[in-house]
Amino acid sequence: HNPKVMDSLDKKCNDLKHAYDSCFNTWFSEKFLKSQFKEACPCDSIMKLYAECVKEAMKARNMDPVLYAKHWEESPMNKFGDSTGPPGEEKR
Amino acid sequence: MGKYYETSSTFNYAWDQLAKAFWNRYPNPYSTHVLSEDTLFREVRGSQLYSRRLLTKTNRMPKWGERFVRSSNQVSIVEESYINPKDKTITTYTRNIGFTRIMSVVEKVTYSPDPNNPGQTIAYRSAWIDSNMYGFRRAIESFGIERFRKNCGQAALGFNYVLSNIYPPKVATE
Repeated sequence: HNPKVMDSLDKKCNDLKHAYDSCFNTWFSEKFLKSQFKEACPCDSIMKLYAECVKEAMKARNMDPVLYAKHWEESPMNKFGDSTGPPGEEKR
Repeated sequence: MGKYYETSSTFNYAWDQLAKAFWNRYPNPYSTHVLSEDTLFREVRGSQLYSRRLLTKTNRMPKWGERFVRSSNQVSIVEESYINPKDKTITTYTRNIGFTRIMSVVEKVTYSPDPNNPGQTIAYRSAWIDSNMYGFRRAIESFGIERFRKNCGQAALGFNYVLSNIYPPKVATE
């Protein structure tokens, strides 16, 4: 456990999580925030492995993936009345 | 039904500085109740970045509330966010999964530049707190609002702590 970074749900995903986070953070501040998002995020391959690990960890804890994948717009608890999303959000 | 609460806080950092630190706001000394943090899904949609994250937190309940949550003292939170670098907005929607009959908290936070001071960023925070516990609804909702109010303060203190570590205050030199 490193007190400077957050742990994953399952400690066995920590290495993948930290590798992904550091890859993502670089892309986020050096490309995305400068609106350079023509090229794909280079972290997608790590993300795939990391997401798989978290999925297994959730399964082992009986966490229903459907509940967690629901979009906030579909949540019956959404009372903010902005169902079209924040400004600039494209309708999907 | 349910209770609504809103508040705002100002950060003494430009939006770009705050955005860079956004994904690193945990851990901090004010977030010891946050146990884990994971990214479940992320994609660029148009000019926005959409992210869905899973956070687990310790479920702080008052003594009288413990009868409702005997089994677990952890709660899962889903945080969805949109970051738009062109409009300079970050919007997050957060909700708890599980225990929603006892209490559901749905929170929206928008971070955007202070229109009167580009060196500052304002966070507008609003929340709906609902309970479906017959006979306890009002007590639980009131407790929820009170806890939410405290948490807002903690969240701002925590983020400010992280920001001040990344951007140490400039010391005036002659």
